[in-house]
Amino acid sequence: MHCSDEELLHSDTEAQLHIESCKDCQQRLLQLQMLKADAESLTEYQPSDFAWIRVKASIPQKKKRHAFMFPLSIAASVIVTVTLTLFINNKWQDHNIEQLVATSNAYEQQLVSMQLPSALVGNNLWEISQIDIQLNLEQSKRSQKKLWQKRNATLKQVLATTFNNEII
Amino acid sequence: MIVNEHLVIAMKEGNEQSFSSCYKQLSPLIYSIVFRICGRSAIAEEIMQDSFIQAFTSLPQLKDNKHFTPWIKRIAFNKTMTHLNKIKHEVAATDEHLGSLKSDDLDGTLIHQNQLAFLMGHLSAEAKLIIWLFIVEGYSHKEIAVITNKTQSYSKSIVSRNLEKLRNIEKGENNAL
Repeated sequence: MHCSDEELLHSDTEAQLHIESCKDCQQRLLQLQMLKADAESLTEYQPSDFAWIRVKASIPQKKKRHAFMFPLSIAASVIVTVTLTLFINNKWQDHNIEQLVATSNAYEQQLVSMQLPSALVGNNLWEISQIDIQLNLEQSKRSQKKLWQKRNATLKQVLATTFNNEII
Repeated sequence: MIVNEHLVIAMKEGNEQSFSSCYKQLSPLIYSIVFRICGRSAIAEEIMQDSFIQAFTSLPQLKDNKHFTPWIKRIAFNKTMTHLNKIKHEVAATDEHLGSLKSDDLDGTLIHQNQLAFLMGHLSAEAKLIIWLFIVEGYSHKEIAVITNKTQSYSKSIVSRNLEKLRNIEKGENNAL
């Protein structure tokens, strides 16, 4: 039984043993090898120069993101950090101001409950009213905080003075 | 002609010059094979272009960089077969017509110069593709069946019939001498 053309080209051990002993198969194998060798000697044709233009247009562009991705990521992280800091700081200032307003209200209630004569608190009241005017105009949380602290200090001072007078 | 592995790596990294080098190295080979099968330069050029475009754009899918050349060839063979299927109704010559070839149609000088060129010159485009895949590229009939979308027996019969024909012509010539 002779080898098939496929067995000749992709011969296993059994097929090789047969080929060695069969002149007909040897000749057929030689023919296939010659045909394959012929392929290498065939003239190679050149495509036209224009053919490259279309292929070139389809070449995937190199991703240039590496060139600017690093600074971009730094800029993005800086923006996020600054935004977060401002947000947290703002919230913290709000919280502080709320506490100062509460303290200020408590001091005021104490003063009202004491029913002090205007001569005793006159100057201080004028100072507090000036602070209130500034508070209405001020936009910055930090400045508002300082004004509330100043207002509370003034009220505390009035209360302390009144308390000392009462003791005396 | 085999494209260097480093060149394929450079292409994968997006080096534009490497694409040009690859094209310069392989385009004559791909074009020549397709031209021999199709027989029309314009079609061969278009198939060659399409093959390079597909290979370049789907380069990340190529796992083994050493196999770029057989890979692009396979793309070209698939595209050639697709084209042949498209124009099938236009092809007048069939294997049956070719079976009627007689030894006196053939040029005795050519057969001794290049048997493959002689054989290919008398076949339909589809048979040329099958012969080329089997003899030159070393494809198995199973692999050819996948590309041609035909049975293995079909490619086996094409190969054996035409090789037999070639042997008979050679024998006839030898006897004549």
